[in-house]
Amino acid sequence: MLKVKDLHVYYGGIHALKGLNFQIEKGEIITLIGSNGAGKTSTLRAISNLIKSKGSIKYKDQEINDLNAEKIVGMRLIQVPEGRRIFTALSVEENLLMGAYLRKDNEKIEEDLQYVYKLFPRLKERTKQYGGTLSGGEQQMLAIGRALMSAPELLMLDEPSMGLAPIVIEEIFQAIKEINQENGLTVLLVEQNANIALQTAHRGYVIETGEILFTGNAKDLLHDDRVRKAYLGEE
Amino acid sequence: MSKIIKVLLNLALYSGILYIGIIILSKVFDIGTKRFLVFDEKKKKVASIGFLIFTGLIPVFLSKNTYALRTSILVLIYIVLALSLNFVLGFAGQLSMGHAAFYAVGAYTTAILTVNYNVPFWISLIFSALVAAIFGLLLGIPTLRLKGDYLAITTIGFGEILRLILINWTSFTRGPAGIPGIPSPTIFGYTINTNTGYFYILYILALITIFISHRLLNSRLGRGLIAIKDDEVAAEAMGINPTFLKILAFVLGAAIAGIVGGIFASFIHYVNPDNFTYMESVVILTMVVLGGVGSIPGVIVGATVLAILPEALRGISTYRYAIYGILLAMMMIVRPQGIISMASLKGGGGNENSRSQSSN
Repeated sequence: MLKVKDLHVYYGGIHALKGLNFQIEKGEIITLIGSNGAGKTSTLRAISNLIKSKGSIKYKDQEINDLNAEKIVGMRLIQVPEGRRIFTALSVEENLLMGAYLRKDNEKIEEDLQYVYKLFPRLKERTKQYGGTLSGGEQQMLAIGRALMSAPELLMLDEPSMGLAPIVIEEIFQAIKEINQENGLTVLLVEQNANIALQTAHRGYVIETGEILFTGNAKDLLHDDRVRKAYLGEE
Repeated sequence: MSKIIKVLLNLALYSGILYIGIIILSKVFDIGTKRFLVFDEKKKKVASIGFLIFTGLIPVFLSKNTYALRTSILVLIYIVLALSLNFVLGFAGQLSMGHAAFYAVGAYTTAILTVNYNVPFWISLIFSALVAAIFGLLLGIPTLRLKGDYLAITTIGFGEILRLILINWTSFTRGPAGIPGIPSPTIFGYTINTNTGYFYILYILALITIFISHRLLNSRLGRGLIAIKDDEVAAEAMGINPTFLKILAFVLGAAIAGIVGGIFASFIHYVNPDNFTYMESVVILTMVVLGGVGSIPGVIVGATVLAILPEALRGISTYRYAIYGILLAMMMIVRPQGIISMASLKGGGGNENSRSQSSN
């Protein structure tokens, strides 16, 4: 579904991504794990074309590296940005409708809205409330819900666990699994929390200083000594 | 020395009066919006129609008092101007401080077309809108990358350059002498040259502007604008095109300011560059900020208060701009969200002491 080949990103003189290669098949949950500054967010931004990059990004057999961000959203490749970035001055429901900004199929939009409310009942209790008044966990739910409203075929999540309590993290990752299983939605998950990410994903890539170190099944990675040492803090 | 003390004492006194005024106005409108929000649809409709009829009958109440009627026409002009700036500042979040320039473009377009080329008023009014919109586009495109202070400086520059052109291009604009003899509009053979006539033209324009503002704000595009103002990166990630929407706001605001400029020119039958100074832009900006950036009823209240204030303050007119300054500073301290904030209209978060929902 998504094939990234030799992806490079530069911030001025800094070479942030040094030729990434990875691919995602339809229906998979893939995770990119790595520490701060490894290049995880840069990868997602390069795919969404919020920043310039060199290399090939093929989505559904089409080269998308030259398309603008708006076009890419139109192709149902949706990113949930890091730090949630919900619209604080819009209500919960308006935030969700922003996700459907490019869609014209009103009946289906209403259906998807109800689906999001079913997935995150807490949002339903707060439809009229301002986005900015939600708690961190609710904001993350809103951010994911908003992305689902764009009817994504590939959903890219940037650190959904950031700054959240363990129990809320559990809830959110459960929802991600649910969406994947029920709708066959393909997910690209970028995480620092390697433990929960690998428990959720099918396959994983370990990324460090802009390069992919190794890859494998999520279960194998979870028990891989290198991963356990570097990211799970075990000796 | 004693004079300085006198001035300072006066300013202190006005500050106190403004402080109390802001607090009283804020409280009144807080209670008002809260009451209004709990109304059901039918009651809301009745209240709105009642308000429309009441304001629509103002010329009847004031038919004996020309001065008050002319003031209410000025109020309407400023309401439309402030609402047109609200497209740019309130919806798109772009701090434009040269809004009087579009007003000037509209006024001069109508003046030159009707006086020099005998174009009928209504057609020249359409040209006022078009020419102002083109100027909005011209200013909007290069300034898109600018934000906040930088955009403010650029737009001030734009306004000043335009005013200097109006002063110095004497063969076209007659320079500081201005253009006199702008005719009144005619409808079905009747010439509208009474204050009442102008009142209704502007009243209808104000209603149209309110309608457009309201529709835009509650539409997909309006939500897109608010989203861009809130977080441009996230908005882009949703597939919103910020360039298009920001320019749309600029062009729409400029076009409406252009129309009201054309009507203004016809109303006073004379335009000159002094009507469109930088201070005029500041006054319009103050109205929007005072009322509540982005909030339609707020902007209307702000424009009304600030259009009447100088009339009420005739006796101390030397202090006028000092009072505007104090007022803005005072608002930032006492009520930064404006008299009727956008948030309070949606029944949410706006003021700290309300809403049981939002506390958890």
